Amino acid sequence: MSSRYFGARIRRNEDEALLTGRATFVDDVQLPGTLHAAFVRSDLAHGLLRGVDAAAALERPGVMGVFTAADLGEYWQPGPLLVPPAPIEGLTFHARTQVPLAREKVRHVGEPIAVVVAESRYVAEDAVEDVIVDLEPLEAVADVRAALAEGAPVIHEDLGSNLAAHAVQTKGDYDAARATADLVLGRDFTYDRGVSAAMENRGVLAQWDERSAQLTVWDTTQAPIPIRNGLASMLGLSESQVRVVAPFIGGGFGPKIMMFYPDEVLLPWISMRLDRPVKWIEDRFENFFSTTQERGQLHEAEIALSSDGRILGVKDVFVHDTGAYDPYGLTLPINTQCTLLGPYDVPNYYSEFRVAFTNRPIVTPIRGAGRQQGVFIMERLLDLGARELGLDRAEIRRRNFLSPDAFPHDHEILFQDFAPLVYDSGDYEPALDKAIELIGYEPEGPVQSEPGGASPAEDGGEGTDGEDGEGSSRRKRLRGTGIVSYIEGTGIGPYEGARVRVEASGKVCLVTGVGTQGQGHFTSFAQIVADQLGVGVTDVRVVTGDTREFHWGTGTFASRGAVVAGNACHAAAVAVREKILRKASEILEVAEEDLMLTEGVVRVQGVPDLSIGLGELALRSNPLRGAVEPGTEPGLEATSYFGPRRGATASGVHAMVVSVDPETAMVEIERYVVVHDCGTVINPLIVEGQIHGGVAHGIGNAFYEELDCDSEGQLHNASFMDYLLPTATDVPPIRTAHIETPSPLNPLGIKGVGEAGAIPVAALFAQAVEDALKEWAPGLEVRDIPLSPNRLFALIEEARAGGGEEGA
Amino acid sequence: MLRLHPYIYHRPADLDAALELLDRHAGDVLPIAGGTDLVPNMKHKLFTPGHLVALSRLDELKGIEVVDQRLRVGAAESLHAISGHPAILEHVPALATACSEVSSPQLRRMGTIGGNICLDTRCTYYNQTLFWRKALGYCLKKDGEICHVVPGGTRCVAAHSADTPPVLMSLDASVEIAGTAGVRTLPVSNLFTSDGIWNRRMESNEVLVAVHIPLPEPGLRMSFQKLRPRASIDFPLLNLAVAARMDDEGLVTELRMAMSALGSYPRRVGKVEEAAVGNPLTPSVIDAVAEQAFRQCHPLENIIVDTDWRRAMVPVLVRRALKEIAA
Ligand SMILES: Cc1cc2nc3c(=O)[nH]c(=O)nc-3n(C[C@H](O)[C@H](O)[C@H](O)COP(=O)(O)OP(=O)(O)OC[C@H]3O[C@@H](n4cnc5c(N)ncnc54)[C@H](O)[C@@H]3O)c2cc1C
Ligand code: SF4
Repeated sequence: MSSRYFGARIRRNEDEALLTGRATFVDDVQLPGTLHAAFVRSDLAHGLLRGVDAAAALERPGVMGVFTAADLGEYWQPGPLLVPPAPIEGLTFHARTQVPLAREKVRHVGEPIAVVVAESRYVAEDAVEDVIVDLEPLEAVADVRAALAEGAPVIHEDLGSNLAAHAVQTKGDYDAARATADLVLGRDFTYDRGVSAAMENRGVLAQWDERSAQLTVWDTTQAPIPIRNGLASMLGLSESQVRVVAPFIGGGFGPKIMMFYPDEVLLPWISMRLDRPVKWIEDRFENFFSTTQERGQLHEAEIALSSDGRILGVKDVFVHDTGAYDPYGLTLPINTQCTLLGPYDVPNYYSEFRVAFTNRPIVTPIRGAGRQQGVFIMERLLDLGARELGLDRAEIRRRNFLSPDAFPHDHEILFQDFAPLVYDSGDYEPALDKAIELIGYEPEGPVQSEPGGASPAEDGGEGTDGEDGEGSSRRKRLRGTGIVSYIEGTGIGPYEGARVRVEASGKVCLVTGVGTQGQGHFTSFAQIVADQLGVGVTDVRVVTGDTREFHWGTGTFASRGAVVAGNACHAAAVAVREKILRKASEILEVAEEDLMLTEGVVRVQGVPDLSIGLGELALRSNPLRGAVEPGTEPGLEATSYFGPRRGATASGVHAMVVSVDPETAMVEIERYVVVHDCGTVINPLIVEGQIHGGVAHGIGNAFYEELDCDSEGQLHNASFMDYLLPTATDVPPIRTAHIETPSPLNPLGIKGVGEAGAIPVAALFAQAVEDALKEWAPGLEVRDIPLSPNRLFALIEEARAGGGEEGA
Repeated sequence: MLRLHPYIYHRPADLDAALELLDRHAGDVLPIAGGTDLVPNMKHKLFTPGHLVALSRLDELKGIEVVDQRLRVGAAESLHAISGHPAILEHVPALATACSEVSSPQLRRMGTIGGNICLDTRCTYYNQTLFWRKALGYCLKKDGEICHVVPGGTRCVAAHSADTPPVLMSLDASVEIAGTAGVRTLPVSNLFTSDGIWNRRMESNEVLVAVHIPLPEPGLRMSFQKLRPRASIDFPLLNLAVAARMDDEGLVTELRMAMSALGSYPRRVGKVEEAAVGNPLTPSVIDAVAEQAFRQCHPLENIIVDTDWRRAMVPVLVRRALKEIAA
């Protein structure tokens, strides 16, 4: 097989449509007669719902209906538990999933209470203000620690407490290891929540067609097939009557695979009742309440080290905030638990977590999905341990890496896919070496500005010029370098499928069930197929996210699209290639071994005149008259499925140089390097794009984005004016290098990459900033994320006053 | 979905027509220039005037020119145009810097200096949607009776958040204001009051026509400093303008300093002259000035960012400005 495209840095097939504004997003679908929905939402975080009076709203001209939980009757059902918990011994788990509309109680600000449907969104929104909601306030609990405290208000009364889950996973004997350690270092860490901030908010358009008895739903979901299946069953329709289309989507990042959001359940039902299309497009303010969020965890962690820096064991006890409901089961805390182990050999591990309900929006995975927190804890423990032992930060990592011959490596605990956490392959030192080389890390310590002590504002120090437009005077900035490692479990099952068909035009149609939200599937999948069929990559038309085109599949999550769907595409293409050669060999009367397939034509080696085009072959494989051999399948088409036994473990090293203005605590990233191993690379350009986006995401989480929620569960910064996302001025150019250790778990050797960029950034920030400030603010430790200039300033003040030594 | 209330949008041909409209609809009308502040505020239902009078096309509010030893800047000139104008760059570079550091390129092309001077004050409890304000309880500045920032407070302390007024104050600029009663001129230093609800001595049916800046005598040095979390978009957490003159020996003969974003109005920082005049700008003199400024500033929790940090940044920005000037 010639490999012209696989591995090539080629431009994306989808970009022309996207960049010229011709791509269709949900809100671009305009149907005549469409009604518009708006939600009456709770303005309290916790309250008893006494009644809803919609009389005034119903009188407003243009209002077609107002629906509450009572109107839904039997259709009112809590959503499904999407991921049942892994069979961990001694586990406690209580599933309490979200409801379409609040019935007796509201449990977070923004929880929908009623939906108004009107001729326009304007009318619907005006009518929302006409609806009178009788809510009796209950004491709210927004903080995860307070939620588990004795006497806390209980969010799901029948449980008697806010404990949603409790689990312990262990390996070896941590206490025994601790007893032999030269250094035991313990710290508390917090990682706060944020939003996913996709450029496109969520949206649903549902159209019931009475004549054909067909329901079509356009949905910004990452999982169109499960949505179709669920809707069919809830509405009592056959799956063939429901079509779910996830067209172009402006970013998914995880929350768009939550199911079912109230709007996803309600709009189809309303469309069937009113026999009109109904649309709802989430606005940015709503997005801060009605789309899921992530990352709030509190950790008490401890590491036991030998004097030469070897990890003897790690103990981590943490609390995970799941918000008002827990539809995603234990995926997040288990990811944290597993990812904490990183690329290291950790012989003894004790990990215990509790999950708590709080009066805050629901928590489900966001890009990284619990992994950030685990990586943050482990990398921080190693940094602080290295500092204590007088070891170099890169060296302590090197000493603990799993060796290349340790694979497959069994960590003896369960992963989120219920399978044992086993790393398939990896080789970590080359990535570290490469990152050290690219960032210019000096083992004994990076280039450092003059030590502090005097006023940092003295000019003429070794710092760089201020470059932030605040003036041209030379200003001291302190430089620091960070270097961290991480692994990412990717490409988990169960399965995906793909169908490849050569059409009479000679072009290829490739259909898969996964949805796509900007990952470049239209290109990377086409590359895989084009190589097999000897056609140009632009001759492969990729169709994704339409349940009418493909019946089976699960969705785009857990960095699995390329691994699972990619391999299904490959298998289908291989099967079609075989059909092509068989058919051509029949027609040309030449043995298959003598045939070559290039540029859309099957040629006979050494006989330049004898050939047949793919289009002609496709036509001849689908005769209109005459007889065929019994059992012949028409067309040059094949459908294949792929399901890996378990996830493939990607890994990487991120490094950066920051400069910190010690007076203002403003941080500037001067250089950023990512050395990444995602197995074999289909298209480096796309992989780099995924990494760049992920790093930007991570920078936001680490330094800018913070939800300012008060103790009543009210959010104070529900807009991009106050919830700060990193802008182009805050994200540096990123240098990437690839290391390839192919995964043995799939024929193409691919590992996932979608989340990688975002995972280690907070850990990296913490280390680099500490390094920059190590002389100016000795003993400063970053233990809480997000950091911000004002938080960092407080840490600097504390450390300079001598408070930074505490807890050592 | 944030949506606008119904209103009538008037596009008068000249200033007189604009004033007439403002007078006719007094109480139910606001002027609009670039709309970059007013439109978001209307979407949050902070203002719901039945009439808007567009100012951006009025010739009387246009032009950047030097007349009679004064730099006249029309109120409807965009921040973008001002920041790149040769006369501004030559005579009052600090104003160019301040304009160029407002928000983002798009907003600087729409936003005007008149709108910047008349910018509404900002507060965590105010710049929010109607839904949110209702959920938390309205406050003094709009629809309510209490202040969430100063519990028990009877005065609104929302933050003045515009970047150009401190510079204009440090340059002794004044504004030309037109109403149906005629035209008056007011020093920018006297324009603002401490009432965060409506912090300017201008009626809502008056029009700011132009800014007049006395041409600085040669030798006046100036600096503008702004603190913001990101390098773009953000409103100031603190801003500072300094203008100073030094004699041939490098001794300070004059020092004017103005600061904003902490409280409800931009303020001249007092007593700094005493510390500086007659002295060279040595580190100890600079520190003394910085300390003096620090003592006068007491930020409140009107925005989400920590007040301790904002206050601690006062002397830092003062030192930076003075160093720039001394350099
Ligand atoms: C995301 C964002 C970031 C921003 N960042 C900054 C920042 O960093 N620094 C900053 O200073 N500002 C910032 N702004 C605010 C605003 O964009 C600027 O201050 C701009 O200069 C306002 O001018 P405008 O012409 O758009 O005002 P408008 O919105 O048109 O008007 C603002 C107010 O002034 C009144 N008004 C306008 N012109 C006149 C006049 N000639 N006479 C009488 N009254 C008048 C209006 O009635 C209204 O009440 C930001 C705004 C946004 C949305
Ligand atoms: S300072 Fe007080 S009164 Fe003024 S806007 Fe803020 S909360 Fe309202």
